[in-house]
Amino acid sequence: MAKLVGSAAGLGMLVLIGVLLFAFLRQIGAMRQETARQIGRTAAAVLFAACMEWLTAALIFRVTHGNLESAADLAVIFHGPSFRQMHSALQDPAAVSWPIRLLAYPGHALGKALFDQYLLGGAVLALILAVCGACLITARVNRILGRSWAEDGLLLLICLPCTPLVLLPGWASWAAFLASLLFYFLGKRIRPRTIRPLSRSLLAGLIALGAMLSCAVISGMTYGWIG
Amino acid sequence: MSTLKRKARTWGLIAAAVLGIHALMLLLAHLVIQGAFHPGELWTMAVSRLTEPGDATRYLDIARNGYTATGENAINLVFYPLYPLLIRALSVMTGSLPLSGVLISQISYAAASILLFETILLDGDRRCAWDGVLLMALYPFSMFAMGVFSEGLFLLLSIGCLYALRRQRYIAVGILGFLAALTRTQGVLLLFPAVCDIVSRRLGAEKRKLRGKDALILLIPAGFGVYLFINYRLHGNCLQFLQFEAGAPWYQSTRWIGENIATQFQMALDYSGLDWIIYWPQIILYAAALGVLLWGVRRKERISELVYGGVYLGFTYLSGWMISGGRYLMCCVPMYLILCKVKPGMARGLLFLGSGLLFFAYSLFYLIGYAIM
Repeated sequence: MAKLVGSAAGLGMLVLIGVLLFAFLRQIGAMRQETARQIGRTAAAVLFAACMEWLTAALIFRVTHGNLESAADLAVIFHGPSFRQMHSALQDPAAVSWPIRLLAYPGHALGKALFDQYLLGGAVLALILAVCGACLITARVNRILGRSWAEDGLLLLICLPCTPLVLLPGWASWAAFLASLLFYFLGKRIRPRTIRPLSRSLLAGLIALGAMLSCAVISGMTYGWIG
Repeated sequence: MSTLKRKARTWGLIAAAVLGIHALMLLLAHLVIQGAFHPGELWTMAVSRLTEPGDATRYLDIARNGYTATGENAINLVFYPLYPLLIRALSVMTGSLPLSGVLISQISYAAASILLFETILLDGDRRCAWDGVLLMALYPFSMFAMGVFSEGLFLLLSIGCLYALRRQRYIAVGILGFLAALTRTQGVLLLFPAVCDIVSRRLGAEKRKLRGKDALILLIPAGFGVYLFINYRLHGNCLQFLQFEAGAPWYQSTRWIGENIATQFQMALDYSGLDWIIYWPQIILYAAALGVLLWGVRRKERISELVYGGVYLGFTYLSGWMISGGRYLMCCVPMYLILCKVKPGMARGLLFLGSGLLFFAYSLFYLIGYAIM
């Protein structure tokens, strides 16, 4: 429990630093209000999804082990062989080969900042990559399909169902980020289209519901595969 | 009534209110302990709890003998020089070091409250300004501003610096920051809001040109530089104070916040006698301060002050083996600047009620003699 509280405290300070940095950049005009709002909403959506992921995993752990003592320890909750491999790479990047070492170093640095919680550092890095990737996708979709598609829930459609894969510390998060980067640059070639979306609230509701359901299903399947 | 007379009356009211709250607390504690009013016992309690516990004896020793390079009091170097210097100076008139220490604390605290009022008044109304002053007076650990501790003086200098920053008086920012950096380690952190303010005015909507006077903010780190020079003169090592802090009786170290909070949480579970005195308040106040600062960002409060709050909070909680977190957070001024904006209603009522009850409880236990540090 002490570790959980300490992790929350440390994460809270990191969030405050990020938020202050954004607020300062907005103040000096280095970032537009709209961009800051979009990043903020994306980060909030992805963070919410990450919390749901962790909660689901912790509840599964509670059912299978009968306690929540190790709820803060990601290495215990996600105990499959693939995670053990990732965990050891995050703890000691120098022991793995290139280019995996290159991918593991940022997660290692973050894990050091979270007092040697390397899986958590990897998860935080995955979160950051997910937010950046989602923003890149939204920006391009915004241009191709129009603002309402991007704002009303496409973000949820992209973020929530994929979170079991992209938010967990691992190579999938890097792959997803690189894919979104590729989409961003290739998407410049796609001309803008005029498509009439459904009524705003109905679209938002449908997308949100679909995203939450698919997230729950994919989460269950993923943890079954990991475990 | 002229503006000056009106201001003087308001300032007098503020000073009377904040000092009156502390004096009332002293009296209430005495009545609770003794069951009746005994002036002699009240005086004894005041002397013992305001001039003898914890750091008070160290400040008085520095004021009396200065820093020493050898002997068991060499470790007094960890305490910054301005406050004991002022105690020594005032004692020439009062003839008593403890009395001078208490007077400097009380006068500084009253002046800090007045400055806080004026600072809030630059952006808000009188209701906000009074709320800020009362929240500072009712902060659970504000009783430390009564005795021989540097909190009162540091509050005066740091609030003065932020006030000068709001008014763009960079000479005052430099001088007050310099003095604050000579009072507490956290004083040097005032450089952050100063730089933030200048950069945002230069690059933001104002596009203000840099002026020569802006460089005066460098007096803030210069104050810290003077302290490092004192370290060097006495021990040949600029960072000697860190070595003393790492040893007895403080055993201080620098560790990430999460690790420190986790340690404090475990200590709270393991030591039932000290949990509600030391550890739970530190953990809860950290979470509360974090929440207040995030709320301040949402409300689009001044970014320079929010940055100062964040840096102050982070720096304070980087200390491993911390037992005075509640006292240190008393000087996180942005908390009062943000909380005073809570609108009248249930939230404001609960805020004052909670703060008042905690102030009463912790002041009482401190004056009784519990190990609140």
